Amino acid sequence: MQKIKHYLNQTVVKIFLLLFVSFLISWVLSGFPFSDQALSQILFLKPFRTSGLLSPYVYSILILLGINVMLSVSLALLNGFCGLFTMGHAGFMAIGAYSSASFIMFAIPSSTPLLLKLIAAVLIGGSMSAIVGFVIGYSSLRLAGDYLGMVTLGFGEIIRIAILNIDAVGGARGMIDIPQFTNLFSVMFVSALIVLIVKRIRESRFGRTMFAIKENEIAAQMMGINPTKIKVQAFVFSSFMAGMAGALFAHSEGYLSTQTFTFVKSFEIIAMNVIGGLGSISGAIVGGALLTVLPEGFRVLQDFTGIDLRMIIYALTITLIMIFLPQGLMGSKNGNVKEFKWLK
Amino acid sequence: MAQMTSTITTTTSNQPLLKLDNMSLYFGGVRANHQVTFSMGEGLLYGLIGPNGAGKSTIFNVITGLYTPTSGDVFFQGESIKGRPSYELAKRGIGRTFQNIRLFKELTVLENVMTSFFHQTPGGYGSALFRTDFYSANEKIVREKSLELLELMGLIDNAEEKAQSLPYGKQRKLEMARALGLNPTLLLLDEPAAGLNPSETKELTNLIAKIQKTKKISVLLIEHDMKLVMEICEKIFVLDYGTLIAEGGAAEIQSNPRVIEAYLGVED
Repeated sequence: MQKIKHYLNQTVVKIFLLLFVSFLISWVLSGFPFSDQALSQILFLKPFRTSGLLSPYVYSILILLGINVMLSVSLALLNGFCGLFTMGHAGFMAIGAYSSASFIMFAIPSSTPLLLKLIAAVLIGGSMSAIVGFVIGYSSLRLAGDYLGMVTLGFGEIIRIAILNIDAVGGARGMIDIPQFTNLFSVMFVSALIVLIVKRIRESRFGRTMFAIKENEIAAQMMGINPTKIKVQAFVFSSFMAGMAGALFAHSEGYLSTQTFTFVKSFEIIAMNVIGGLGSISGAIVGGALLTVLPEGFRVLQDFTGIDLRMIIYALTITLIMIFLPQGLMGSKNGNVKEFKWLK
Repeated sequence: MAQMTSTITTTTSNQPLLKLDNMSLYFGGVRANHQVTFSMGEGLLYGLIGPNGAGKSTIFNVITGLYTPTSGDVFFQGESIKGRPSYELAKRGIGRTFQNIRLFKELTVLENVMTSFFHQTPGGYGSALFRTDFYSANEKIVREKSLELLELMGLIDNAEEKAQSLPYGKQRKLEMARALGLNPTLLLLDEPAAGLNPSETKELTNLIAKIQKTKKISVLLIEHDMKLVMEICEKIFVLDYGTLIAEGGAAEIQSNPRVIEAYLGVED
């Protein structure tokens, strides 16, 4: 028993477990297909939107949910752990999305197997974003608090407008005909992987250090911690993961427009964190899921009422949560959700 | 007493652990410290006293690198530390506590102490992400060492509580435990007994003396509780208006006319 537990704790085993579970769930949701073609659709990442238990609409919402969870959890590393109030997260997502889309479309032959394409897309998107994250993090970390927010907001918009002016990626028309190979399986696996990474960072000495810097930077320095170094590292990790989310986003829609990556998107990611509870990973997940489902889930109401109530309900829910649970749904002050303690 | 100071300099290595050399610090026209010169040997307990606003905490901030002196120099283990960043000095072995408690409130008591082992722990993000055996072993060592420190400070029962939920006296002790985690050669305590009642102060006094003896570290403490200072400090520095007006043993300080003047004033 002890031995089994030991092996289950091995990281490689865990990753395979995540792969298997993601596959199982996508298999179940696509209606237990047994044909070779259907199985290969799940495994080899061909988007399938017609068969299965889910309607194409619900399927696409689930994919968006996974991507939003990735973004929210990656921002938790900066906003929640280090206390860095950054407002340009959509910029990192944009870099991931555009760089991976152009890499797949222009740099490698279209006959490349889909699985390889997916891995390349996620890694290229993440790395490009991490490089930019390093530059932005390094240059803006002299600032703190609101000023850092302003500067990162500016950087986010600069990234967006720079992309808007590159004709090769479509400019204002947007980028079209991007190969679509993001499916539920890949989104679920990557988001689980991101949650695992952030959770491990949180539990390690690096996570403790990040919290220490958030709580009291001077005291942290007196503990022999170089705050700038840790913050830049957090920036790199966070932007890498946001870039991965962006890459998956690019290959799920098949169409990219810079309008998706405005500061409104950045604020949405911050809102996911705040509603879930700053500094908690489970909160970032719940917040990301809630803010994806809320505006979509109430579309059905329109059939009964005739008017579009969903945005009103969306706004009202957020307001009520903030009034009655100012620490967020999973915030540290309402530690009543014991089931999620292991997730931190 | 003069004899005692001479033995200090001969028994310890020929260079002092900490030396302030004509150190001055001005904030614009405000003279926070003016030409302060003193040195500390290894393994002794020193006191730094003076009326409010005499510049005691500024000296701590200079020693820990939060402020850079306007003129003069600071030497630690024979090397100038002027203008060095705080975290580097902490790594070299200068630990401190704060007058206004600066704990990591959201972290648990144990995690607070564990943060001070950060730079002493090997292994990067890779080992933490893959949770290698190497990583787990190190994490375990840090955990045990931290628990030892909590045991020493009498905080072992509160290990899993959040730091902010501790009562005031225990928060002060936790700050000390955290500073000790650095394995310091020099420990700076900024008003360790502030806000404690007499019995707590007594307990703390004994604890400081005990830690200093067992760990063989140098302690410099700022304190307004004269009983505590006179009882445990082997040598006392007195500051007034940013300048050093006296130094010596407890009896010497108590009879020094300039010290009495600084604290009580003089009759016209």
